[in-house]
Amino acid sequence: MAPPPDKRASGSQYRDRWSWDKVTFGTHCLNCLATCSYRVYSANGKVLFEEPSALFEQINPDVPDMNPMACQKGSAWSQQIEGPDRLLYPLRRAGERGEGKWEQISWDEALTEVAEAVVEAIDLEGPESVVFEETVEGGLLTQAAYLRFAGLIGAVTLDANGLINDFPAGHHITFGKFSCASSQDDTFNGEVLLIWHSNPAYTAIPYAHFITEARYNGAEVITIAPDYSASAVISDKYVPIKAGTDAAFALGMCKVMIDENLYHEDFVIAQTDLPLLVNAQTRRFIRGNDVDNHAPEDQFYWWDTKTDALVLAPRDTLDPGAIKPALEGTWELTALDGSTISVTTVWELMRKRLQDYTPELASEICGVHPDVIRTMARTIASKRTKILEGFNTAKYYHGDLMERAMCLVLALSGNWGRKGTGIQGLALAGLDGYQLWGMKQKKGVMETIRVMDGIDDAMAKLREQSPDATDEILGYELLQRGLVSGTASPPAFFHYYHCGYEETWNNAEWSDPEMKRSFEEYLDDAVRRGWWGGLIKPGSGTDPSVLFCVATNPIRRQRGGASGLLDTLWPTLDKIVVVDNRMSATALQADIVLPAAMQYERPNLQYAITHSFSLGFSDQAVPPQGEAKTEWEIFSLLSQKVEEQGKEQDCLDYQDGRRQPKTLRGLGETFTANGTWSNEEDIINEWLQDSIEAGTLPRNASLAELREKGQIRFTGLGMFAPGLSLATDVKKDEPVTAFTWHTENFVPFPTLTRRAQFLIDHPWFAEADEDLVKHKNPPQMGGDYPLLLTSGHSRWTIHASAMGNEVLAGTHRAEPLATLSQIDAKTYGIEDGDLIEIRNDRGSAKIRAKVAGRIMPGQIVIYNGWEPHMFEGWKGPNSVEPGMVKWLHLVSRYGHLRYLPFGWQPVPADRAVYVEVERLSS
Amino acid sequence: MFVYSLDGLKIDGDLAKDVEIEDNEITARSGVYQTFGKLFIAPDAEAHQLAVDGKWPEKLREAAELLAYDFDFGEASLDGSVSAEDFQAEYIRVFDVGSGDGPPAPIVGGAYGGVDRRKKMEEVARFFEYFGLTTTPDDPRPPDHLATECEFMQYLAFKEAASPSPRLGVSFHRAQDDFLERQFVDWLQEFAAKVEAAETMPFWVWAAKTAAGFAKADMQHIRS
Amino acid sequence: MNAATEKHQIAWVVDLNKCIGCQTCSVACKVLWTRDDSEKAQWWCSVNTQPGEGTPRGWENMGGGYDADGKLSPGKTPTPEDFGGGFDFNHEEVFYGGSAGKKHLEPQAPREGRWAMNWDEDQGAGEWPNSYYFYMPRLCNHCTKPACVEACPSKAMYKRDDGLVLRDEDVCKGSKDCMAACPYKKIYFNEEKNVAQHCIGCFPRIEAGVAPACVRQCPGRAVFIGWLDEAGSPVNRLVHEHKIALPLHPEYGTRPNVYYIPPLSPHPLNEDMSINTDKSRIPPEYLEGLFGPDVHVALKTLQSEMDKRREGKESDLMKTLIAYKWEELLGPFTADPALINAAD
Repeated sequence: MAPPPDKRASGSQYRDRWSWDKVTFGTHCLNCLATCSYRVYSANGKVLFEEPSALFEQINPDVPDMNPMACQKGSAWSQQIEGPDRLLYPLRRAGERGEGKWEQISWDEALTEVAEAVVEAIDLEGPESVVFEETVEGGLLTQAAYLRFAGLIGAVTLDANGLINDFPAGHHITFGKFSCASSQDDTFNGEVLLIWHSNPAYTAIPYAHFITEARYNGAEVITIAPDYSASAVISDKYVPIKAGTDAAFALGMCKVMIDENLYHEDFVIAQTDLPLLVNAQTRRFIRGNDVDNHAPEDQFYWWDTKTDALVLAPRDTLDPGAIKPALEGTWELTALDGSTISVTTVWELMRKRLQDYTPELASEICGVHPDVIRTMARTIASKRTKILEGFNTAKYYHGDLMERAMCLVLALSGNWGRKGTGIQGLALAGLDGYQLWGMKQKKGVMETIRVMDGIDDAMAKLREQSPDATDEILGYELLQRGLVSGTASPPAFFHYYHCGYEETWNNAEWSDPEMKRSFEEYLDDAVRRGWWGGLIKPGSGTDPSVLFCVATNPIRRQRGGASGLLDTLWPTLDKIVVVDNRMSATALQADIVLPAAMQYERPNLQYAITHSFSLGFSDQAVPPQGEAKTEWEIFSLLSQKVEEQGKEQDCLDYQDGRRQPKTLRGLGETFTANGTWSNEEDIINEWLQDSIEAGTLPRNASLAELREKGQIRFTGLGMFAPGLSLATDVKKDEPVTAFTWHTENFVPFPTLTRRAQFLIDHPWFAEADEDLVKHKNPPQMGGDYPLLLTSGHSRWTIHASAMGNEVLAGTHRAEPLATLSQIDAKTYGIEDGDLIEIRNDRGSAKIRAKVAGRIMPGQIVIYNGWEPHMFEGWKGPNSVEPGMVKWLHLVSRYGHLRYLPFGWQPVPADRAVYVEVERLSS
Repeated sequence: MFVYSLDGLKIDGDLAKDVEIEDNEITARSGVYQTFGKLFIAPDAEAHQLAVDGKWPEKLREAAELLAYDFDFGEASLDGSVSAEDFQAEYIRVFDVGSGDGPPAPIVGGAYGGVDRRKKMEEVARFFEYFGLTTTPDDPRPPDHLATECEFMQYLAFKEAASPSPRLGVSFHRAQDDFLERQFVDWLQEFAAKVEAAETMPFWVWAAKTAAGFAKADMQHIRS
Repeated sequence: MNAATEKHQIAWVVDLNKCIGCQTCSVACKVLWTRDDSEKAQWWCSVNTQPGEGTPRGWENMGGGYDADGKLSPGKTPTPEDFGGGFDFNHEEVFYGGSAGKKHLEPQAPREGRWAMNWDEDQGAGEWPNSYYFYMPRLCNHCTKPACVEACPSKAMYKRDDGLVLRDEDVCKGSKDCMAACPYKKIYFNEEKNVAQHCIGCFPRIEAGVAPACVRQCPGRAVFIGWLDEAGSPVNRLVHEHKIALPLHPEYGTRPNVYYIPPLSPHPLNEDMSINTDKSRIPPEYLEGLFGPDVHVALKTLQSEMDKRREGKESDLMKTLIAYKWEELLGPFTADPALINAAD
């Protein structure tokens, strides 16, 4: 039924525009947690346009497919290849740092200069004075490159999640893991979808359709947020809530579920620590060594109502079997020393705690009407409910309390481990080949199996020591073992010792008023106890000398802005090297800027996530612009240069931070394993092959296959802990639903108690009254000011990556904005478009105002991603963010509260900062 | 992001290169592929003599003694009047070079299935490399040559039999399944059909059909 | 049906309950068709927040279309200022000009009267907690009674047999009569080439059986395309059978062929933050002002079918709107663009 071709003359102009001579697959490898598969259309060596390939097969006839999987940013990526902020040549600053004067130099010159600085740093201060920020952008070949280099020389890589803070500590406190994200199509299975502390209409564009489709399919979609957000627009219900009070709201719902007997008793008993016995006085778990000389310390107990006696809560299964653990009751127990202890359950403690959160009391705190609290509690308790959370709570000072309360709502209503339930976040799974490759010395399956056998061996030995541990638990153990000899370090310590945050975090006014001691006392205590032993690098006694920012932009992201890094760290550094494809705020402040190839200019893979559960592949459509090089090539060359400089400066053999011998001899060859890893396509292919061996990709997975289909669905979670944390079977014809091993197979959680844990009986938590979850107001971060500054991510950009894209700039006002309510605008005499200043005791910034009825009075919203150089004086909104850290996250050696890469660590808060505003001009 | 490190962990010894193993059904399969490999290279005087003596089917049956399933290798011999030179010339005509439009039954996998030959060869070469084999540059045969692919199956089966690591054994077993399915069985059927249609010596028809039949049966066996 | 001899009408149905205002449709169109410098401020497909002044600014008050007697009633010709956008930036100065923090990156345009395609994004109407807004993508409606075609003095504007309203830029004299006549103000002017430009319905794609870019790229899966006159097609059924897909401003008289499924909205809050289930957040009058009186029945139908699903009952309408397979949105235009060699 094709219409007749248009014969008129101007038709040919448009037909010419829609023509190309080459089609390749492409994806953008950004931190958006999407693995969109686009086709890139180019002609005569130039990228013309892109379009989603929409080749995702329907997994299940009852669930919509994932097509087209796209967003406006990916659809305009082509415009950035030759964009105005694109870096094309190596640059050396010709004036002061940040002056904006540059000298174009050759790669040879640039790399030599960098190598000189690296070797000098190693010589004078040791390799830990060479510091990398870890990134979550740029795909795997970007990360592989600098991680390998850093590992070989013994440098430090600051943990990416400690820098950006997408770490929902509360999930980790509860589940022992924070990666709980089912695949996005599981959203369609939900009967109640809670859009809570997230804005998927802005930030989950490729997946948002599952929400609207679920709604059409009978689901109730509820947005809980201060502002009437874009996600509220597509919801059935909008529940306004005061910023930072979500714990009260959640606990109010929990109270209703318990009072009205709506909770799922069997689920609660099996899945959580709520039936475990505690000392009624001290609120501490009854442990093995309290009652039995031969029992281990991490043995916990139930009271069996059938036999009316104390029983062991099994460590190797969640299944109570014939036991009927009590939730309610108090009993007397004789301790080892003969004394009598009054014991009760965590449940009873929780009930007592919840007395402070009747719907009426909760309403006073959070502003949600008590009837709404009741209705929602009743609904959630009777329906499959999924919390579509983002990474917003993570950035609240007391975000962990909010998250723990949300998890309690799910626990009481039986809402995880089945279709359409659970809480979103992140989950990394599938590309085991990437992990394996890091341990391989040569290509090929024999080497792969050698490594895998080695891991099996190591796991077997760990299992000998802990026979009742799950694979997941052992997997985390294994991960931990590699830490001290690895490069990763939680950046909180770097920031504290070397970037001036010691002063900031000790500001009592900006911290929780219930802290019993100063931040410094807590930190020193933690350090003294060795809780972060081997992980604090560079130590307080080592001055950082060289900073590498490969695909990271700390000057934009760092809470504190200029005072955060430029005033403190920057002057102490000898060399600042930025490797990026665009002139970022950090590049502007660097000494050496190295241009990196962009996606579409090189083959690459995105890191594997469960959201789409498919492999994100990007091919080379055109050669890199200008003199840009891939990061792999850059660090290969740098390795050679560093070796040369080692000879030159007579610094070839040295010791790393753990006094292990390191050498620069042969570094150039070692980097590529004597040429084994010099071809990036070979590397990708190896990752694919090894992932097939690990059972996470189908057997036909290959670069050739990817070039034909664009993407491949993963077939398994993999053998490593982060993948296993999803705890489910991967089925070919079902969306991936997290946690079914826990609910269907009663596999224990990787927590201290082996259960979802709602009591954290660590002394620090206890003295903060946070051993049990409660609501706490956001501390007065920034000072005593009337307006609350909050944030979120916009729809316009992934961090700052689209800030130079003129097509995308045309979809908004093309400049930073602070949005406030009409009521506040009136109070301050501000009109839409006015220039205003936001200020507090930390700093200030000038920004244009936007007035909107959707914003809650008392709140001012500035979305993430604006570069500081888009503001007057280059002071962005991060200038007013102190970046406070909650001292409780310094706790370690408490079961599951211990450092894991990308996981448990102190993280910076930036939401709910107090500011005042003043109108400057129109 | 995190990178695992095995520093400080003990990893058990490397896989030994040459292993003495007992004959079993896997070594039998390896032996059959080895024999087929020899059968499909350009025949020299010895190969010619074996053909004339009708010994090829016997060699195959010998290798297949411990095979776990039944397979009839049939009988075939070369007409005694065919000289060694003519025998080789016919091989070249039918499989290798042909006369004018290319050989009537090309002996390389990439010529079948309508797939871009270069892509096919690249895939096969990567497969070999991943499993520890490289074709030498001096080798006159391309990686998708029937004899080379037979040698690869021989190697994979042997490695499966010889593997001290169960995981490695599974790996090689899966590799055989994969290789048979994606690279070998299908084109062999087409190849056999072409040989039959090529009006050539019955000996070559037997060779092609038997190889195609065996590969198919072997794939079925591997999966059971 | 032989397309060469019979007339069809290609039509879009945009589901405003699925549109999340991401602008992928706008960008898809722009990257494909209007990347020339002379086209910088053109957005043939645009998405605006309603209520709002939109693009061009205040277009709903610029007149055009036909009067109540069916007579052509030209309105205002939108100016470049009305459209706004197309900003230049000062990257060079900020990055390489030694500005030392004294210059910052910003649009190089006078601030007075500044406007852009999506200037009033997410502002809407009303006050917290009862503000209301939704997103409305707009493109050329390829009207059945196109005022632009009637108004064009040089016959450059014309309607094809497949229903697309196109123009011949070689014939166009730049009179801008079409711009005054179009009541939707979706026609732009190219100062450099002195011609009018507007959405071409992706006709090279349509001819190859490929859906328009705005439809095919929409991540929200909010847009259906098809033949309005093809019985049984989703587009036909949504407009004629279920009657939930409505024309925008039917009173303009041009009989547009982009139809909208009107947006539901969460109930507003009372003063005490309880939910007011008696009221609608988006004032029904407002929606009636956009889509005509049929909107009330359409919303009712939508809600009752959704309620059916909530009760576990089947709903053919909901099944259609969900579009379990993405291709269902594309009507007959399911060809894959990558498999077409358009260089022919």
